[in-house]
Amino acid sequence: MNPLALPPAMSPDTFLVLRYLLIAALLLYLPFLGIVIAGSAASLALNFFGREDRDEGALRLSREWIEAVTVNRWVLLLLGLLPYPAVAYLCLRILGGRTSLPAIAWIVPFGALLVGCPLLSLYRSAIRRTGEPPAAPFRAGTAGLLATGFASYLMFLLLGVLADPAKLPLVRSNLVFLFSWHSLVGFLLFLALSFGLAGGIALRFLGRSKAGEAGADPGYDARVRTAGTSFALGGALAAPALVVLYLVSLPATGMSAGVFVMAAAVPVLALAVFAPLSLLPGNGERTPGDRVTSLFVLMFLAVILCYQAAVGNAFQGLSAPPGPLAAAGAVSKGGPETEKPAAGDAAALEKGKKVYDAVCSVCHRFDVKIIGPPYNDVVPKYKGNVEKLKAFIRNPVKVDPSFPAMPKPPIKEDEIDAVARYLLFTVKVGK
Amino acid sequence: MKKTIATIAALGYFGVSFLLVGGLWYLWYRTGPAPLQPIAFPHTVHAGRLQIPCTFCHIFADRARSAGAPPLEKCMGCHKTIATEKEEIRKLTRHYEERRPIEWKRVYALPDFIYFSHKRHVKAGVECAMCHGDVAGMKRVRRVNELIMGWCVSCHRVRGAPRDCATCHK
Repeated sequence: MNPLALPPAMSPDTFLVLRYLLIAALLLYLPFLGIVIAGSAASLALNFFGREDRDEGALRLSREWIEAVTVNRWVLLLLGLLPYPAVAYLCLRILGGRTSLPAIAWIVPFGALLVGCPLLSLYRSAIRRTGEPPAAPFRAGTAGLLATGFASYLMFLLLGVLADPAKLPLVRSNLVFLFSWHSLVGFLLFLALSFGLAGGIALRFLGRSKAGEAGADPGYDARVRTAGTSFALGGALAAPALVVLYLVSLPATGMSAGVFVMAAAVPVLALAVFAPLSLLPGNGERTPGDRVTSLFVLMFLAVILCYQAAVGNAFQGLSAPPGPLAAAGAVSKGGPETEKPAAGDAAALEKGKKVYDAVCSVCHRFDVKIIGPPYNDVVPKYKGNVEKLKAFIRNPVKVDPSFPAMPKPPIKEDEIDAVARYLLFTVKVGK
Repeated sequence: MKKTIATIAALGYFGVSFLLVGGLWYLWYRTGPAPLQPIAFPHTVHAGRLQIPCTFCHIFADRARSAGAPPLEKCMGCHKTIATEKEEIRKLTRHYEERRPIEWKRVYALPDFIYFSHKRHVKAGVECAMCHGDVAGMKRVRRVNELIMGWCVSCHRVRGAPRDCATCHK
């Protein structure tokens, strides 16, 4: 199979529907997967240091943070696993069903998710049950986090292929597939937004006990605030630089004004996260959770739309069948099959056909109207009078006002003779 | 004082990244894959609706290294009479009457150290769309491939074309 062959013809509508579905799937999946990764990473780190220092507050935050980002066990398992096959299926459909991609591109990530999500769920349940968990669930959680992170990196590699389909023929081995600047930058951008969003969720849902309420712990609340704010600030600071790198890593064929507008939204949104959090007097605003969370979700939306615009551009022009572009051979499609000519005429007719292919076929076909009328309608009236047809070709005059005047064709006398004979021979009479 | 400097640095950082996005946009607009042409020639009409074969205008594609742009006489062959009222055709006619060639902007360019011949590829049965994409569907022609070496070589490998360095670097 020729790996450079264009994908099987896909109607622009199908392509658009597939792209919209992919946008929806990514919009549902990426933020969730991101906060699961960032939240578990934060929870694991807090858990590790909390156990070392016997720090109750750290352990509590570790527990509550992972609970907040994963909602509950079933949500984690269902939302963490199910959208992936949909994303992979849509990617492969957009690539035109080409399966020259190595299995690591689309089967392995699902396998890694199948291992990673249950392990994270295990860790989550274990630290809920016991105040100070033993080391085993921690190790399970770390393995789960690594597996989930690896799976999402591989998913970014698959998504990256979509943004640069011209590179697809070069992807012949797993090793080549496993690294691409574009996907690496995309993955880092995803991590930055995910950590920011996880920080926003901590600010929104954790440590918001009211003063005087039972179990209120101002020390814990301040700690949540510090952790959430630093995550959000880190994400907001990393995102603009990574977006610029992301644009640099996109192929020029994937660019359009839409890509740049969406990318330009990210620094603006990041500034909207950053400025009130760090610059307002008195350690920033009082309840930034809602604002930070929604701004990071908007950044996810902007980046996904930017990526999708790039995919649309990269495939523009690649996804249609070659049809009329074929340099040779396609021209003769206009003329019907000719009957077997008499031996002496064969050479003249052959020459006439060449002239038709090279000159006349630009405006005329035998059966359909293109610029001039179809030959089957106008040539029969010259039947038996080749000189009259030749005279018309030599000096065309406007006959039917509904057609533009025919220009004088740039052909020599012997070619006029040959093409006139060819037309009279080939045309269908009485149609 | 320290805080003021940090604030300015942070705001500057966001401003600079915003400007960088804008700068990349401008760079792409100037050097991008779909340059603005002096006359808005629609391939969608000629190669698309009218199905004029590529080699009708790019007459050297199957006989020389360069595919070539058509001479003005070729355009005027039809446009002496067709669509003469359109602004772009008027522009074309002015060029023709003033004997001033149209300076088309190059869409695909290979560096000097590459030897590439259209003729060889057309004769080997490589369809135009394989490298140039669906030009018939493009209102303004845009580059669909970056013509990187690995891309050329992968096709040469599959089709059994020579892969000597000197095939292209001569």
